[in-house]
Amino acid sequence: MIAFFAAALIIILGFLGEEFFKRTSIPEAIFLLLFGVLLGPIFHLFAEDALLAITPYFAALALIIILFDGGLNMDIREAVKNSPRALVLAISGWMLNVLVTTAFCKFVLGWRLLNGLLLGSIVGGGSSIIVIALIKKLKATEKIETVLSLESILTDVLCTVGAFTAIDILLSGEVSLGAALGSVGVAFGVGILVGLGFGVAWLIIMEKLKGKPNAYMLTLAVLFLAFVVATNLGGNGALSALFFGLIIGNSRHTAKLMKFRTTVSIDDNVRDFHCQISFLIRSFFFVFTGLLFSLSALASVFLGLFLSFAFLGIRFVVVKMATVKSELHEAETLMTIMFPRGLAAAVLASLPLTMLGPSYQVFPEIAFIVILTTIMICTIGVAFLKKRTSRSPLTYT
Amino acid sequence: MLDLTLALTFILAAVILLIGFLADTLFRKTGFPDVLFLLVLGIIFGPVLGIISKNDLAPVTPYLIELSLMMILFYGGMEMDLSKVLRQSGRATLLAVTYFVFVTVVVSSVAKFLFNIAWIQALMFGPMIAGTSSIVIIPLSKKLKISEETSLTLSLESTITDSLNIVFFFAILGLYLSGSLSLLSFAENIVAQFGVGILVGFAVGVVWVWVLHKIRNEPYTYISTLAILILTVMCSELLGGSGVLAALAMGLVIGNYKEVSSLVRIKIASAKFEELREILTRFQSELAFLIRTFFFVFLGLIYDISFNSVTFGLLVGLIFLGLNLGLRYIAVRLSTVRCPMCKDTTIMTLLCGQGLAHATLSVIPQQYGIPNAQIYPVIVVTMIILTNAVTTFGSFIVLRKKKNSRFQYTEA
Repeated sequence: MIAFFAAALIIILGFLGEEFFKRTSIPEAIFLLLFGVLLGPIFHLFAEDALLAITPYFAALALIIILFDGGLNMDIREAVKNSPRALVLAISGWMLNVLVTTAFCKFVLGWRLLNGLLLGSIVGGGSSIIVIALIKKLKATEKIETVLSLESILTDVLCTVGAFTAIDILLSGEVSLGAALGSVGVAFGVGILVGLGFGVAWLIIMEKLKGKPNAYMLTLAVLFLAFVVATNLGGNGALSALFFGLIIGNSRHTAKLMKFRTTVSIDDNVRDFHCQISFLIRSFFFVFTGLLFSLSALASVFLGLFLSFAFLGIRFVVVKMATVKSELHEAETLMTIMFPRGLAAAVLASLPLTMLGPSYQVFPEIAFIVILTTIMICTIGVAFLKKRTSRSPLTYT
Repeated sequence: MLDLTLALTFILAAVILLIGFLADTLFRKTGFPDVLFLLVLGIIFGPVLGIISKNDLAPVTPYLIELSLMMILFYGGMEMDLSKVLRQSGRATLLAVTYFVFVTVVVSSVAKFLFNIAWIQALMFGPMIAGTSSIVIIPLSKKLKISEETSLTLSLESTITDSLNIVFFFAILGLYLSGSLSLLSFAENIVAQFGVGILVGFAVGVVWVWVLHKIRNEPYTYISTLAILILTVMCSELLGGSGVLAALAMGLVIGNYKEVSSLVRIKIASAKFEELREILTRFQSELAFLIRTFFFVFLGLIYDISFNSVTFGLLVGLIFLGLNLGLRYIAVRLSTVRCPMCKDTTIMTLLCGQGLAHATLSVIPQQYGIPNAQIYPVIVVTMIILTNAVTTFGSFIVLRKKKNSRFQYTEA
């Protein structure tokens, strides 16, 4: 029953946190995360083994639901228009983060070059789930929301492919840059295509099912299938969920473009119910991230803190460069602080330990410090910006 | 590439939801019970193909049961119009109670001698076998062009028995766990559990109606209501009361907010709250669909398909079905004496489909390590299949006979 009790408390905390955010501009994410740390590493109310066993399932579910939510609320024209800028932001930011981490680990800590590269790949990119969840609360312009959402999803892909490539090299000793680039291309292409294909097909079917009860649960079933198909064809599941949502949320534009008739846009019932489920998953996600927090060496704390602030500095430079001569220039502070790491980094950080051996115990610990610090910087920054916005509402709608 | 187990989990979830939706659509169109499809799907995934084993499900079973019970009772409470139950449909209450008592007494006695088990274990069969399921009966009674009074009586009867079964079962279970067999302690136990449960559910319900009214424009009212429901159940259990009854009482307060708010003298803007109540009910039905679909598949997964088990289930199931139909006929006759509904006794008897509440109760004894607990799901699953078959085929036969009279089957 403790799980039920915790679930009820998380929902109430999330609900009260929303209210608290409206009044103080401090996002509830930080309270939920700390609540997780309290339940897990401090009071040990949940067995670590059981948590680790369900982590991949929960991470995948959160990814699906939250990215579908992101797509559902995204304007398809903005997405197409802003994807090149998001791509530049994602690739340059991630690569610089990896380079700095690798250099620091190699020259200051004396690690192997590949280990630095692996750590950099894991913690080098922001979490799409957290960025999309937080940006929604800020009511930023459509353009900023789209660029940041797309960028965070792209870095998710880069982190995953980068980490697996580094592990492969460490295991086999062979370096294959071509294969890595190929994986990135396939991940993007297949993920987008599957999302689009399932989305269009589902729109056509939904037209026939119009008015039937339980439409939300059925949409969820198709979303799960899209995710699995995309991932098993070598694509990125997150992208398929996002594009599936994008098509469903922009049904009229899609129908016009594909030349078929549709009278269904996702109805209010489905949208409202999804809103409740999305809130639930979001709240649980932050607590879950806190639950997994672990620490045994103080050196991990210092390295994690150093990396977090280094990433903040790098992001400041990259955002400045990417927003030159653009209306986004005015939102560069907001764009800079939107760099929190999340569960994806935690999951990836646990891989070297299981695949490469016990000497990689320090990876999850560093990753958790980076996750905690970047989320804290982000939430404090959001609160600060929200207060400033009320004085000059230039950047936000 | 996604981990194989992970991919399989998501595929299975998607397939179950898709088949659940198709089966539900078929049920709404033709009256053919979706329960059968879901049970068969579970049997195929579990005992036949071995994709999911019983042991894989053991850690989630208690949560699924608890959630399912909370949902049935809370939803049942929200949908139950107390004034209608108490004033207009005394006959529905009479039918529900007499049918429940008859079946509990007779089936328990038969089970006692048939299986040579303790009385208290035999008594547990009563709530698992008695009563009808609101999920099966309500849509079906609306589809059949029977008189409004009959349709309302059957719907109310099923809503009442859903709750009655669960509450009574937990009273028996409480008695079993306390180890005392004296009638006095049984009565004391029931009064204490019921009293605390009702009180906690009512109190939280009243406060939550007031809070809901205040936060009605906030976006996450439904999810928050679920959180409060969970806390109410836990709070009641911690205070020694019945958790399930607290859930029922809380649902009743929210469903009957007009009467309750005037009773406790709080001001509620009816039109605005009604809108919110409808939203809660709509979301609840989506979640209820999810839980129901997964629960029946789950029941199929843990079903033992060995020849001995199936034969045993079928034999006992047929005996219990015969007893059930006979006793239901008597209960229907008794509760329709001197009223126009007495013409509908056949269809009222045949609409006896069982469902989620029965299924949920059947797996609880195993959770508490009660001896011979494995026989409950075997018999109850068979009974669910048989009663649903009777409901479907019975109504078809009646419809064919009265094709040109007032019984007609219509598209909803």
